Amino acid sequence: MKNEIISTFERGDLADIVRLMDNHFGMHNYSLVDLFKDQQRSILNILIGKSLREFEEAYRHLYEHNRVLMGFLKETGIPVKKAFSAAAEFVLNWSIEKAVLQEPTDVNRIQQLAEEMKAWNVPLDSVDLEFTARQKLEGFMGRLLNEPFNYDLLIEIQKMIELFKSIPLEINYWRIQNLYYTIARSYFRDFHKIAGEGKEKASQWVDTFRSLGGMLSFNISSVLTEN
Amino acid sequence: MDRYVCIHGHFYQPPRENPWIEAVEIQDSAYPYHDWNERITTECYAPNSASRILDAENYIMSIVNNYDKISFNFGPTLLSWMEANAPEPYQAILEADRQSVRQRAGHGNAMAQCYNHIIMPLASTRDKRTQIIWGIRDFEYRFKRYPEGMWLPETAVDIETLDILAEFNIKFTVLSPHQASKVRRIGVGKWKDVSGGQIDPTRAYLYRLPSNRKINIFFYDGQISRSIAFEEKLLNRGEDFLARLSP
Repeated sequence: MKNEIISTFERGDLADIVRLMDNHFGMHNYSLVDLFKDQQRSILNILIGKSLREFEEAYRHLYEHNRVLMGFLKETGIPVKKAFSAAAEFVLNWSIEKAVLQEPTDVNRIQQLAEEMKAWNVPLDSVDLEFTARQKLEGFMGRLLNEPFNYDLLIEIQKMIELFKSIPLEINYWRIQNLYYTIARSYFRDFHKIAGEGKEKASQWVDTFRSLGGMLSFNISSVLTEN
Repeated sequence: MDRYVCIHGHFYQPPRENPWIEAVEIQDSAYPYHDWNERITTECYAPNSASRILDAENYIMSIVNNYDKISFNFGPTLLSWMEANAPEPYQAILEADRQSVRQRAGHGNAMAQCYNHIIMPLASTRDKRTQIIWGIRDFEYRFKRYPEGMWLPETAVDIETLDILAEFNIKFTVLSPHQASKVRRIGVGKWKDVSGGQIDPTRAYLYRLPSNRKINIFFYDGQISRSIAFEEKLLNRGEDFLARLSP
């Protein structure tokens, strides 16, 4: 079969190749519908990706083009048309999710987007955003567990949690707390000891880690034992 | 007098794998999770492995593994999924059993379960044996010890099932109070009627099988179990739960 198809291919006879394939593989045509669900989904995502980008551009254009006018309407107390808030909702949710995924995290940008959403009274797609934000934070905390001395990472985590607490987003901190607890149990005592010896970096770490514990709802005096 | 509370948690999910690809396919109803196994693991099985002890202001004082404090059983089909897809809670469950073996004179918290969630009295003798043998083997593979107890799906039971359990040296199972008809003290002739769920669930019972084998039976507290399953807020605060348990 292989030789037959290859030699036909080399002759450049396309009609014959199709005929040979029908002969050898049967006449049944398989399509996207026959794929297993997850594979089907990932191919469809590629296919709709382009359309979604077109949507995004169109909505963004509409939103940005009319923002000033709508702002004026709002200021003068005239109800803002639904078509406008629909475009705003789409564009702002899209932008905020993108901004959360971005590295390094642009805190100001996310805050500004959240405020814009509040101003236009459009809802945050919190299920999606919570999931994205949580997974990012969990990834960062996992990294911190592997490299607890990474002070910059610790600061980045603190910044992110501060940010998420400042926007209307209820994050499930469960796994992040677990990781914090493990780090506290494994490393806090050592850091505290080094900090006590007058090492500035270590004492900064201890302070930041303490404040992070408070933000994650820990009873600091029970969890961060110094002895 | 010391008083004890004995809690058993039965954790089970059916095999959701597509047999062609041996993987669980995407389930949109579990959004934002990929599928229901993932979602229930995040919402139930994992939280029990790292449970919070809170102070009066709801700040976390410590994080504990509930599984080393309760009797529990996980269906083998669920554990095989967790082993590959949720290694953190899976390892916490195995560790809890090891921990409990050390704490309770060699008796671990984990109970085995019939391999699938099969209603045992409806199965043929050979299927009953298969379910029990597979359940034991799976348990040994994961927990590295021989099981002492075995959970029967829906606590459905007949004498033959109990007899096969005893034949394989399973020491105990857990049943519903409505499955007991009468009891008597060992060595005393007079039977006491306990039908209609009246059996005292605060002690263990010995069942002598027609084959002369024996098996121990614990009966769960019907009312309390129902409250835990259906009264939404009962487990929100340990204090509320304790108050509900106190007679």
